[in-house]
Amino acid sequence: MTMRKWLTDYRYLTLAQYYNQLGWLPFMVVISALLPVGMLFGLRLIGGGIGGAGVPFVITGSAVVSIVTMAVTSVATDLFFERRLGAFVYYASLPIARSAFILAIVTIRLVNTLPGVVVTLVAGKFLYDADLAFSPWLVVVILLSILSLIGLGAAIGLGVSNEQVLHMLANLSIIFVMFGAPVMIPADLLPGALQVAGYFLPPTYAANAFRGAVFGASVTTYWVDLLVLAGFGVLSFIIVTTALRWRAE
Amino acid sequence: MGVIHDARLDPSRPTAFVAAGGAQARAVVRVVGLRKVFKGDMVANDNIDLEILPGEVFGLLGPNGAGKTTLIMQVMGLLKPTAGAISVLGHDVVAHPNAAKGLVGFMPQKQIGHREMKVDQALYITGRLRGMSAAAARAQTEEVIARLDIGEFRRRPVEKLSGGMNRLATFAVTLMGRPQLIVLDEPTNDLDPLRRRRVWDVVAELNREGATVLLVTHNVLEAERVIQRVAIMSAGRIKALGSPGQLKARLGDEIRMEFVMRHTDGAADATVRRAVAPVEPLRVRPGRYVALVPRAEGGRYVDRALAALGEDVEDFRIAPPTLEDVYIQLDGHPLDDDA
Repeated sequence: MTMRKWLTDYRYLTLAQYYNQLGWLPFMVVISALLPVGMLFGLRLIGGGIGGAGVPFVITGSAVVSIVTMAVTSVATDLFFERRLGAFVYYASLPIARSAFILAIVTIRLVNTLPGVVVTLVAGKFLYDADLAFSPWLVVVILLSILSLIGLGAAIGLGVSNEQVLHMLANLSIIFVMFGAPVMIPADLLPGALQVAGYFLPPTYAANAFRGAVFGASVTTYWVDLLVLAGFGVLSFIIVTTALRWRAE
Repeated sequence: MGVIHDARLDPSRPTAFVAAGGAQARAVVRVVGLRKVFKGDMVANDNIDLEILPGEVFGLLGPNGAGKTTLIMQVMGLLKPTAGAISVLGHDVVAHPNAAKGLVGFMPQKQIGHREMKVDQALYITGRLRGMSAAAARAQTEEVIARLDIGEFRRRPVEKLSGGMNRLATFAVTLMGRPQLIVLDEPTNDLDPLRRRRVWDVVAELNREGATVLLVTHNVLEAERVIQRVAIMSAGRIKALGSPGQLKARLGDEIRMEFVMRHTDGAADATVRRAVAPVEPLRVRPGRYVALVPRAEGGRYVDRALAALGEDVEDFRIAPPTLEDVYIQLDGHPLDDDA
């Protein structure tokens, strides 16, 4: 396949993803912001004592929850139903590159996720009167965080064959990120097993990088997190592209 | 039951078609010794040999679970055979499943999964993904919409179409890129009679324009209009192969009697059985029966059957045998409730 054909495939597969989501895009954006902003609001009401070191965890943790909502839950659900509806058989019958198909899915989810993240950070700034610094590296952090988590969403959407299990895993991923990973809760407050598990999960590194980029730390303090996120992103892209089976269900 | 050999592929019975260059060298699809076994040792295809020649409409016929869809999924490179070889337009699609995808249009049995995308967007994008230029994709989108008379719903999201409209939109998408081989899996499911007729007309037109068509359908009686050769499958194997005329000739000098009874209970079975004895009738769906009787004694059978059935019969027809009858004779089961 020539580069020109690959680029044409990527362009029109992205357009297909965009068209297929157009009607409910605003709804998705609201949903992706609703949960994290609601959390910020609720924690402010019931957790009046949160302050100092806790605020960065709450604000950036909520942004990561927004990403997980879109990148894991939405991607898993979309791919599951595309598979079930027969979309993969249609795409598989076309002379297209699988990598272009996956990258088109990633691209649209990147676009879908951004508004929710931005709304969450801005809401956090005002609700907690936080002094956010918004480093230019924040863009890279958001992109890499989404990329690294889309792999998890795709793995659930492509690997699960039962709708109940799909919803259970998607919800579990949000609950785990909220309460079981060092995202909203500092790592040293978590049980040892969860601290160890956190090293193997992208949300841990996404939350670290977010805290650095939003609260004015130098990129030298979180470049390792960016590197690990990039690694997760590339790895998940390769695994999903390889594992995606163009086949009938 | 043995396989009926296709005269055009049988070197001992040469025809003008074979003489024109040799079927093997010219086959658009060539399947040799194909076997597909799914998990749990379920044999879906077994020892299938098949050749589809350029410019023909080839029908795959058989009951649900016969292995037809499994066969075409392998032809499309979407399933890997357990054993055997498949070439499509000269490409080995077992070793290189993507090799022929640019040359083949595939209409799957299921929907194509588009949701909010509008029908004309789906057509245009499919054309572009099939390698057409923007201008050519635009032009063919308009042409296909006009040809299938689907202009009324061209701007509707695919997921909001009725079952029949969705099927027609999927058929339209399959034509984009002007594929050399068109593979259609149940193209007329869910369509009303007028739309079904339109689809068969377009299949015939495409064939006249040079496309080769591989067709899986339950609508045998309608498809007979366009099919030039047919393979009848059952339990993963090809039971018969040939032109509809060749296969129907297998029935010899028989005519088809069809009864539609007012009642669909067991008593109707016994009544029909008595009416056409000693011929054994087949119930093709509740209340509908077919019996193949010797042509020479047709008048006697008709008189006797009508006298025996009396007021119980709602409709009665007498006609030459159909492909459906060939299937029934081969397998002993009705084709399909919809057939």
